[in-house]
Amino acid sequence: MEILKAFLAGIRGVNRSKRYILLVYLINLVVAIVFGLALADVIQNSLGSSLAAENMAQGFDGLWYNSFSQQAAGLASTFDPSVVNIGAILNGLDAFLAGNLLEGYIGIVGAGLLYLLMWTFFSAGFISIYAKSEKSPSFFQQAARFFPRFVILAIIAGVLYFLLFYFVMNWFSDAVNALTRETIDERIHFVYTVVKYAILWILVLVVNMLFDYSKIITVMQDHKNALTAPIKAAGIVFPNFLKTFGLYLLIGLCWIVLMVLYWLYWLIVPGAGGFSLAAILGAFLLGQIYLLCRIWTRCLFYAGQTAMCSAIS
Amino acid sequence: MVQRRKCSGLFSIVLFFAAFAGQSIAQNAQMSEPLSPRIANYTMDVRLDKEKRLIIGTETLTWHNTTSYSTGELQFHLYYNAWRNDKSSYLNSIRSSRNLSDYRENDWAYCVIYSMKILEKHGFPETDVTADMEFIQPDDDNEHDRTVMRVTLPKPVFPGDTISVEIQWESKVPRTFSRTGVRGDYYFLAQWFPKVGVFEHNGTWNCHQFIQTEFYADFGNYDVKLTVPTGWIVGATGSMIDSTISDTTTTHHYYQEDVHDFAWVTTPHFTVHIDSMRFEDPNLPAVEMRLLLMPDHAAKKDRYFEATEAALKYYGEWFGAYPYDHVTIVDPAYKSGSGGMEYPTFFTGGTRWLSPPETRSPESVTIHEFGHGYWYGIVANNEFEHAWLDEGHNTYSHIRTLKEAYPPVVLTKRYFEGFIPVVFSGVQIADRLDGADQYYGFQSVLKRDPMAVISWKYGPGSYGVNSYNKAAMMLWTLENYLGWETFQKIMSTYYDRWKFMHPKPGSFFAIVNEVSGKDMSWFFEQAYYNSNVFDYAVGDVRSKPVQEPFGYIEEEGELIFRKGRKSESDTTQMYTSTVFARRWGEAIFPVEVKTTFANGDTVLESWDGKDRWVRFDYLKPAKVEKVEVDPEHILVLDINYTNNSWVSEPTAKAASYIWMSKWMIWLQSLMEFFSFFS
Repeated sequence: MEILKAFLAGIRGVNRSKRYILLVYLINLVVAIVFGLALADVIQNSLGSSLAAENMAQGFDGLWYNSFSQQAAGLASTFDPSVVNIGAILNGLDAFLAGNLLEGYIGIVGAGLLYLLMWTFFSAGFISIYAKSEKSPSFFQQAARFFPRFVILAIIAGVLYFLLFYFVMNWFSDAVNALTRETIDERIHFVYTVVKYAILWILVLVVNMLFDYSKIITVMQDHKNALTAPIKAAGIVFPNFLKTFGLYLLIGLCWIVLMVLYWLYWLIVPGAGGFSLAAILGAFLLGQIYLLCRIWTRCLFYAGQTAMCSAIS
Repeated sequence: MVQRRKCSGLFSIVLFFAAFAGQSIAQNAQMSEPLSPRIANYTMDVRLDKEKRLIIGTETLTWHNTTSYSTGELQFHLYYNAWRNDKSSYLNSIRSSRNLSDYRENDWAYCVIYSMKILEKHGFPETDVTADMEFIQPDDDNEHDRTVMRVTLPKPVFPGDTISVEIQWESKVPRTFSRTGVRGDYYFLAQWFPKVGVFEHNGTWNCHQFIQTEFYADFGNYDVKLTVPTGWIVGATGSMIDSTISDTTTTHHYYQEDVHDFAWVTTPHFTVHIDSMRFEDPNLPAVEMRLLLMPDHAAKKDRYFEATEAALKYYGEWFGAYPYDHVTIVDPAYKSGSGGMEYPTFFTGGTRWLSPPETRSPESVTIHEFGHGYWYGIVANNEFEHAWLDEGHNTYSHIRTLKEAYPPVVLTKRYFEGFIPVVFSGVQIADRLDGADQYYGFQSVLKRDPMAVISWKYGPGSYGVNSYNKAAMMLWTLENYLGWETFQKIMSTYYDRWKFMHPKPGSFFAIVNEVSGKDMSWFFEQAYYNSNVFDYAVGDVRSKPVQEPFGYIEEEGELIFRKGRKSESDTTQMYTSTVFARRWGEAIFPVEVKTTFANGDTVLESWDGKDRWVRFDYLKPAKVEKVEVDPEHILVLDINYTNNSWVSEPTAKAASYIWMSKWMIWLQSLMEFFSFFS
């Protein structure tokens, strides 16, 4: 019941921060447009005045793409036809789950890290809104005020994520390889792999949740020492683990449902992946709505957990 | 577990009696009319020791000298010694990128001959020649390489003579390094026995070290008894004559005539499925298909059969009848490393647990590996030296079959460590032979080896591109240039004339010239003997309105003043157009140049392609709208087909923005994944 209360309170909280969600979305969009225009320029130059351009405007030209990709470097090397439809999400999801976001073109990785830093900055502003402090200063003032402490928290969390993805993951992978060394049935290897990711990601999610609460406590209690915030957060999270992790998983389920709905659109709607103007605009708009909802869901984590933190403490 | 599909009771009775007949067939190697010279004939009795991963065997090789030269020695391949230690030529080869750190003591291999004895037959006294064996390294002088053994004979084998040799040997089965080995309780045995090399008609032994290529051997008959644990299913080259159970083991007796290799597989996990392919064409005899299927691929049973049926049908119709009445399809075990490989009357496919039809897995590999039954199995080129003669011919044939039998190929991608496939049905990708654009090897500024270089001597990056893709595209270009009817006749003549023999590249080129009635040596000189590339392109294209003179002109003997240009909206406006086509590559091929005008007119020009450029001028009532060099894409060897076309109103900007809009969703989503860690 408390989980549901916190969840609903979170929704109400998120709705108080709509304009800042929009701001984050616009930053996300602008960064993508800047990179997108650079990529479009490269593609346009490669297509030139050829018939391949017509093929690409109406669908796909595999021969042109194979030639292009063989010689592509830098940003151009990130262009892949699997970015159509659900592939746009799956490619990133695959890298996310495997902890491979830092692999790839350095410009994109850099943009991702800057975006992460932006979220670190804004998250205090969001939490202040959700904490409903009557005397709370403005969104940006709060963001600036807590930014140094949040950076320290992000660094500590980053170290833990690194340990998980580069040591624990490797250890699990070695264990799976050892267990399946003589396996001749792929299904067995698949099950071991699912178990590996399940265990790893439970640990990752717990760390993520712990540092969400660390930020929330820092804002709500104006906790000065970022190094001890996680300890204090642990004092809230673990004694009430069923509630805190239950809420976290419920919000995570929203994130999954969102992705499934986006996938269903491509599977069910006839002509969704087409190249008519309506289909292209429709695909783009749907993508933007999906991303806006993802940002909204990200804020729901803060809002819901802030409500839970208030209820517990 | 054996499941019989389409196998009637009458057929079972026939099989029952055939098992007895087979015994006498095995005893008399000349029972059927020979299809091949039957130079190297083997009788083997082998036992699998699964605890120690050993094959312990006795083989009797009966070898005929069909040349006009004597030989005082025999040379043998001992392929498993390539994995004896890391000093072998194979593991040191430029193509080997194997990570050896995971290999334990039990994972390495060897092939040891304990004794070799000349039998008292064919005019030879019984002689123990064990001490006369020595390892040789004819290719790279690597003293550590043990993949070729030579034994000196007490007296020569004269032209026309025969010698029989009994060999007792033991092979340690590796954890798969390449194509053969053991994983769990799945054994795939290929190149597993001491195999005699080829004594060529020029009096020299052709017995290369095992470095980076495939194989070469003479035809013969194989009579092989395989003893494995009872309950283990066996598949092998040939047909099973009988099986004998004793204590804890079962001996499976296989026999096959007129083949040049023998491979086999055993595991308790297979399910066995039988189907029979019958053709409408009366010239194509029925073929029994036996499928050995792993449990996690049970859903692929029909797909394996359908692919094999497509291959039997099209290869048969296009090239000639498959000469055997059976084929065994092996679905290899997961990560066994034995998939995608061919042996006479026996081949391995390969697929994944989750593999939708759009992935063409197992279809593509099944058709390809069955196809090697033709190109390599029956037309038996030397794979050490001319790998393209089978890989190129078969890649061409198998892609052609896929185009006939299956929908166009679409993009599929695997996620979650490769377990989960997703099909992007709206993205039709280039097929393997659609153009040379897609192969980096052609575009590299570094010259690749010409195809004519002996395969085992290829440098880095050359083997795959030359043997498979360039060779196949060379054939596809020939088909486009000569026409399918002529090319099909070339291929069927080549098959018919060289089946059960060892052709060389010149053998094929001669048939091309003979059947086509054209001297195509100019083409082979460039595509095969040279590494120059083909690249034709559209050059400049200009259209300008014909202008009225500005000033005084003479008309009918009088000076008339004209005021200058006509309006472009004037429907009588004429345009002078100039179209350039260019040759950027060094290789030459005749191409057509097609110009389309805005009023729908088209002009098709022929260009011999020799000069660096050619110019065409036109006077038409419309501007040029489109130019295409080689519009039918006859020259699939052209390394850049994108520059073969030009349009007056390019849509590149629109195309780039369309794909930018899709790519942006990926980037935006990716950035949001980063935010998780904030």
